[in-house]
Amino acid sequence: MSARTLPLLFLNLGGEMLYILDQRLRAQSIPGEKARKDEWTDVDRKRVMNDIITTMFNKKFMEELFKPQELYSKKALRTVYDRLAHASIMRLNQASMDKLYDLMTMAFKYQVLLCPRPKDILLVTFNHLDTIKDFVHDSPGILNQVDETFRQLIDTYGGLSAGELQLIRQTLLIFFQDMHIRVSIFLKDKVQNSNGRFVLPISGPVPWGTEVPGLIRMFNRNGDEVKRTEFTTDGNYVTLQREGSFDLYGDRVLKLGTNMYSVSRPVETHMAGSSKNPASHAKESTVPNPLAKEELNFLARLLGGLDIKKPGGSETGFRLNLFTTDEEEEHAALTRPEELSYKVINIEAVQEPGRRAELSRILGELESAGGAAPSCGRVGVEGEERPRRTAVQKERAACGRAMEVSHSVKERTIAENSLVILLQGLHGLVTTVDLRDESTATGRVTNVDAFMNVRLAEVTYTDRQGAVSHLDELFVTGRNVRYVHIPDEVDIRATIERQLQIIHRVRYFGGRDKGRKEFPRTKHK
Amino acid sequence: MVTADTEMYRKDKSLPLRSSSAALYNNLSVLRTAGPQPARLCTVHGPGLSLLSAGPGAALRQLQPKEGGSALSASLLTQAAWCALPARVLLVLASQRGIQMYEADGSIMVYWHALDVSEHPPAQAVFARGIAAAGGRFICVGTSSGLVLVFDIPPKGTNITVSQVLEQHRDAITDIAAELGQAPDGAGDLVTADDAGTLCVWSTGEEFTLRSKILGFGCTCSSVTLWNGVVAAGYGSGQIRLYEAASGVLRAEVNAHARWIYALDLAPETGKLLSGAEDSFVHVWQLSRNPDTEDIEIQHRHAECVTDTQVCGARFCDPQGDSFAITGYDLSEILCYSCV
Repeated sequence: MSARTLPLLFLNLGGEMLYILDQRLRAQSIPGEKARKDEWTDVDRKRVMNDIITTMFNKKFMEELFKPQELYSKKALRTVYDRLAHASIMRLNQASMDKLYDLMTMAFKYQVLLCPRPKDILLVTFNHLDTIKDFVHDSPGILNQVDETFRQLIDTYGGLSAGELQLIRQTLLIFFQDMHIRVSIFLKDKVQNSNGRFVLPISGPVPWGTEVPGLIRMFNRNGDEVKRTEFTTDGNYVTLQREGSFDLYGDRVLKLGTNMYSVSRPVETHMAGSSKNPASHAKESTVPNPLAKEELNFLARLLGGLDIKKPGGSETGFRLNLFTTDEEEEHAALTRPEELSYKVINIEAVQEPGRRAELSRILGELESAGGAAPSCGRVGVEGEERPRRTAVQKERAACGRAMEVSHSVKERTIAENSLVILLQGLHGLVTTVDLRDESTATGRVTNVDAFMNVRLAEVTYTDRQGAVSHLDELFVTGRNVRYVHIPDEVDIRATIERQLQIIHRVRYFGGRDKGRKEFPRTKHK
Repeated sequence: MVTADTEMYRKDKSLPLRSSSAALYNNLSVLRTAGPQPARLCTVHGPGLSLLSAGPGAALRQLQPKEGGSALSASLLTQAAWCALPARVLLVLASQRGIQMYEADGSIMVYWHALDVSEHPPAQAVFARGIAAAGGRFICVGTSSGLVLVFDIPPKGTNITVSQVLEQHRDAITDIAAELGQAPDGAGDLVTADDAGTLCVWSTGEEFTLRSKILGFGCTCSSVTLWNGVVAAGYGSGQIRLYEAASGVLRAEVNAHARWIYALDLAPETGKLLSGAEDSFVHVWQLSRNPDTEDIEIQHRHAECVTDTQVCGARFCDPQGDSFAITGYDLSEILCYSCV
């Protein structure tokens, strides 16, 4: 709702990401002289942190960020962090990146939920920036960049009223709604329950400017106090001694947003059964986003501002693992519930050529880093979760083999003379079918007949309310098909020609003038 | 002095929702009926609305409002409420794009009023918020620019018109409330509240007239009610303040909650006041007028802690205030309590 939410969201999530990376890099780094070539050293750690922070606080990027705009989907934002995490020589694989993003989002959700006054969101942000400044304390150039953003924050948000800041907070809460991933560090500290909900304390200091509950004062017509009563509750509150500082330097008082990680406190997320409301997760990730195009522009602008260094020719690029061992990481990738897998964004939309080139350059780099999924998106943004990717690739190799041609002459003729033939050429590919009742089905095409009846396998079906169900098979009657998404890798012309050839092969089985004929030939002479 | 006669409310069966409630002011509306069970409840979730019919055979329905013109673009809802006029009941939805009015069961859209986004500076959020029925045939809806739109509702049909625009507020409207009891002479029967805490009391009629204006103290007034000439306002500071509607004089100040108040509601037949806030507490208060001194009195009746829930909607389910329903941020149910 508020158009000023994005900078706060980005900076705080970014801050949390840096905390986690710093902690993991420290845990995995090895003293300089002992390190083999592929192992981390403190020098590398510093370099990674500096690279990421430089990229994050890039002037052009910050300018784009501070423009008033709506929040986009979690998916779009995730892509930005994917890029950011790979701004240096460090590489994270999908499972580690998922985990990193879960930790970041849950940590910031906790801070937004708990922050005593709406204005304290700023203190949370300042806490993050203070720590980031600590990370780069010996690089004056980067420090300057961070301070610049600091000033911009004070300029932009300093003058907002409590109501406007509350609107920002409510927008953030809507963004984080229904995320209930359990985080070990929170569970251990007893600030999160086993159902993923955060604990709200009913004791401790009340927000600055708020009175401790319990007093009722009544006044007469002239404004004189005539009666004073008290009431008791279970809450056990005290008054806050002083307000945090909203200046460039100062004591923030508030602890939310400070670095809660240390080398000795590794963090884990628990996926299984963590989500109380899985349907709404899936809704986020499978419904084609009508804002897709605006979202692409947003991404293009943001990523265009990111200045990414590629590892040089001689450098291998270090891999960071968010899990204790590689086996665990692999296991996490396989066991992650499907609805929790963040999708890799693939972008193919009609846009101005310049921007498109820019975008594909940027995302091309992303692919080289992460190995992105085959894209499947006429809608614009579409993706595949990781475990399924290998299967798709296998299928792609096999997709030269087409669907059986119908035995019915009538069906063959209809297919030959209409574009149904193209759909039949999609056999074996994963695609999305939009139905006339606004629902969508994504799955592997197993059969398309001449009446456009489509049979899909391994289907994710999203009804028009957004509720998602997984079906082994789905049969869509032709009259209910509104739109079939043609995967990008399909060459339309080649597919039609291939299908035509198959029909002709059946029709002229045995050669011309031999065997049973499909159509009676006109008698010559 | 602790009040002698505290009442006990006990938790009833809760009503499950398909999607959780969003953190928005007054994010629960109850369409009361004569019986003990509420007829319908609704709460907002992002771009959608959960409609519930309580009682035996409870049904749950999701309403995904379609915007006029572009059917695809989803905008976030800010509030939904039933407006019960003598002639008809309408379900009014306020969102980022505008105001929609549906028949009470949410089946047919009757009216759609778009907010003009282009005339605002880009950094300013545009939305409608604050819904109330007033004066027998009007529905008032507030906007983010501080205007209050007054819609004239015909007894039947879709010929709804904007009859007046009230321009007194400078900040975004948060809540609007109409008189629930009997307004004393000249007291006004409609109150509007805004982000800066300013309250305006109006007299409804052919022409709405401003009766009094109560300036805020820098704290957002997120929820407001009006009963027998008493304005009860809940603030971001956790305070509840009672004002004389006619004169705007402060009559009582309660340090009620430790965090931002999100919802107030009043039981018109008994004068019970319900307040819910982010500190996870729900309180029931008793308002009364001292017959001798005409002073307004308020007593604490009941406190309920909804563990780990930031309450964002709280409503009495019956006119006596014997039962109430609440919901909270990220909570996929409506919790019901009733008197024992």
